[in-house]
Amino acid sequence: MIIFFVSFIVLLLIGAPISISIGASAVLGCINLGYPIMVIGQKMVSGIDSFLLIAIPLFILAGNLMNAGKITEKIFDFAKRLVGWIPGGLGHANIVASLIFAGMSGSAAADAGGLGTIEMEAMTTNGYDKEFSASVTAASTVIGPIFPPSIPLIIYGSVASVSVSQLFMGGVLPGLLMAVALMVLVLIFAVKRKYPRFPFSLRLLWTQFLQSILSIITPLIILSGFVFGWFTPTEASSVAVAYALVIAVFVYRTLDWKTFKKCLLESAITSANTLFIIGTSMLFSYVLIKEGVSLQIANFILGISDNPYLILLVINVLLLALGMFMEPGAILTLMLPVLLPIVKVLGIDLVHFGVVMVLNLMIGQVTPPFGVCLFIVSDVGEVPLNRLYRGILPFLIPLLIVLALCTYVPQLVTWLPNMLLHG
Amino acid sequence: MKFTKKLLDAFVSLISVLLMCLVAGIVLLMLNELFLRNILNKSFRGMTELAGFMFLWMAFLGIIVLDDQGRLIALDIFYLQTKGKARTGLWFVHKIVAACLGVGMVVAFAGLYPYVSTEFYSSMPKFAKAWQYLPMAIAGVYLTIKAIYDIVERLLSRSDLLAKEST
Repeated sequence: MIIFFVSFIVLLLIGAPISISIGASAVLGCINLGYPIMVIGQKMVSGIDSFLLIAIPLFILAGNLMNAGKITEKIFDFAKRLVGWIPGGLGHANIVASLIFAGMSGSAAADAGGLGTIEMEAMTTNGYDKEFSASVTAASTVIGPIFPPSIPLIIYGSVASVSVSQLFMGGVLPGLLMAVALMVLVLIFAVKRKYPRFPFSLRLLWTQFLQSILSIITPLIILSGFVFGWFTPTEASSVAVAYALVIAVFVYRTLDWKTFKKCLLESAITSANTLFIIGTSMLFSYVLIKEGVSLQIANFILGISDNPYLILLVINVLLLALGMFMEPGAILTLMLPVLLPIVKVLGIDLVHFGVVMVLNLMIGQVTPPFGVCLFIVSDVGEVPLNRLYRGILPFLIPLLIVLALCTYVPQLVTWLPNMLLHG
Repeated sequence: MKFTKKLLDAFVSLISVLLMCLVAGIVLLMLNELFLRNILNKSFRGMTELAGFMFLWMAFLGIIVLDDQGRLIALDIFYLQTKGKARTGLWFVHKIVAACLGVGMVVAFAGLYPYVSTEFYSSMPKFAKAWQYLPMAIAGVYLTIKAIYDIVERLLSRSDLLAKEST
C-alpha cells in the first residue's frame, strides 16, 4: 500500500498528468496486491460507462457553441444594461453574465475561457484595473458548476446514485446567493475605488432585452424541463446544444461550419480529460475500498467527534484543501467512497451534501496557489499569477460565507428540490 | 522516424474526425429519443444504448488527441520550475509512466477478452461487450507508442547534437 500512495503523490508532484498519475499508481497497486489484471480494464470502463455522464461533453459543447456563436456577448450586453448602473457596473455585469451562462453550460472552464475574455476586456477598457477584473472573473466562474446545469453535480449524482434533477435544483439558491455575495463585495470595492457606472435607461434595457431574449431564456428552458419532467439531465444537455446551435446559426448567424467542427472536437477532448480522470480514479478508489483504506479514513473522521457540525467542518476543510490541488472529477470519484458512509451515519441529506461538496471543490479551484480557474483567467486576461493571487483573496470571503451558510442551513439547498420535485 | 511521425499524425487526424462524428452522433441520438418519447410517445432503448457506446469511444479516443496535444491536466507548477537535466529527467519519467499505463490498459483488455468477446455479458443483442472495451485498448496502444516514439526521438536528437558538437 505504501508504494501505491507514494507513487501517486510523487507522480502528481513531478507534474505527470493527473489521470496518468492516478492510473499508473492504481495499476502498480493492483499488480503489487495481486489483483487480476482484468480489474484494471473493468473498473476504468465501468467508471465512465454511465448514461448520466453523457451530459458532460454535451454541456461543454453547449458552452463552446455559445462562446463561438457570440451568444455570450449578447448575455454580457444584457447584464451590462441590467446592473451596469450600480457602482462598479461592469463588475456586477460580469457576475450576472456568469450566472446566466451558468444556466446553460455548467463548466467553470468554459466561463473563464470564453465569457471571461469578453468580460475582462470590457472592464479594463472602461478603467477597471486588470487585477480586479481578473479576480471578479475568476470568482464568478465558481457559480457555473453550482447553478444548474453542473458538470461536477452530474459526476456526484453518477457516483453517489443521487437524483441529478434534485441536485440541480439544490444548486439554484446557493448559486444565486453566491452571485449576490460577490456583488456586495464588488459594490464595496467600487465605492472605495470610485469605479465607473453606466446611466440607467429603461428604454435601452428593454431594447437589449429584446435583442438578447433568445440567449437569456435558455436557463429557463432547461430548468422548466426538469421541473415539468419533459427531459432527463442528459437529454437537457442535448436540448441546450440544439438550442445554442439554432440561435447561433439561424438567428445571430455567427457560427460557420469550420468553427462548429472545432467546437465538436474541443468538447470531445475537454470532456475526455475529465472522463479519463474519472475512469482511472474509479480504479484507484477500488483499490482503496478493497484494502479497507476508505473505511479506516471514514472511521478516523467519525472518531474525531459525533457532532455532525464539527464533522462537516472537518470535511469542508479537507475538500477545500484537496480542491486546491486536484481536478474536481478526481476528488469526487476518490473521496465519495470515503465520505458517503460518514454522511449516511450522520443522517446528512445526500442532495445537501452534494451541493456543499461541489461548492468546496469549486472554491478550491479559485484558491491560490493551484486553483485551475486562476491559471485559465491569468492566461486569457494576461494578468501575472502573483497579481491574481493577491486580487482573488478578498473574493474568497463571500464565497466562504456562502459555503458556511449552505453547510449549516441545509434548507438553503434542500428547500427548492423538495418543493418542486417532491410536491 | 519521419515515417512514424507521419503515421502518428495521420492517425490523430483520423481520430479527430471520428471524435467530431461521435459527439454529433450522441447529440442527434439524444434529440431523436426526446422527440420520439415526447411527441410520438415511443421509446427505443437501443438508442440510449448506442449513445452510451459512442460515448465510451469518445471518452477513450479523446485521450489520443489530448496526449498528442500535450493537454492532459497536470499539476505542473513544480515541473515548470525545474531546468536543464532535472526537467529532462522528469520528462523521461512522465513518458515511461505513460507507456506503462498504456501497456496496463492493453494487457487488461487482453485479459478481459475471453469474457467480453461473447454476447453473454452484453446488453446489446448480437454485439459483444468487447467493442466497449476496445477503445481503451486503442488508447493504451497509442499512449505506449507515442511515449516510446517521444523518448527515441529525444534520444536521437540529443545524439545528433552531440555528434555535431564533436565535429
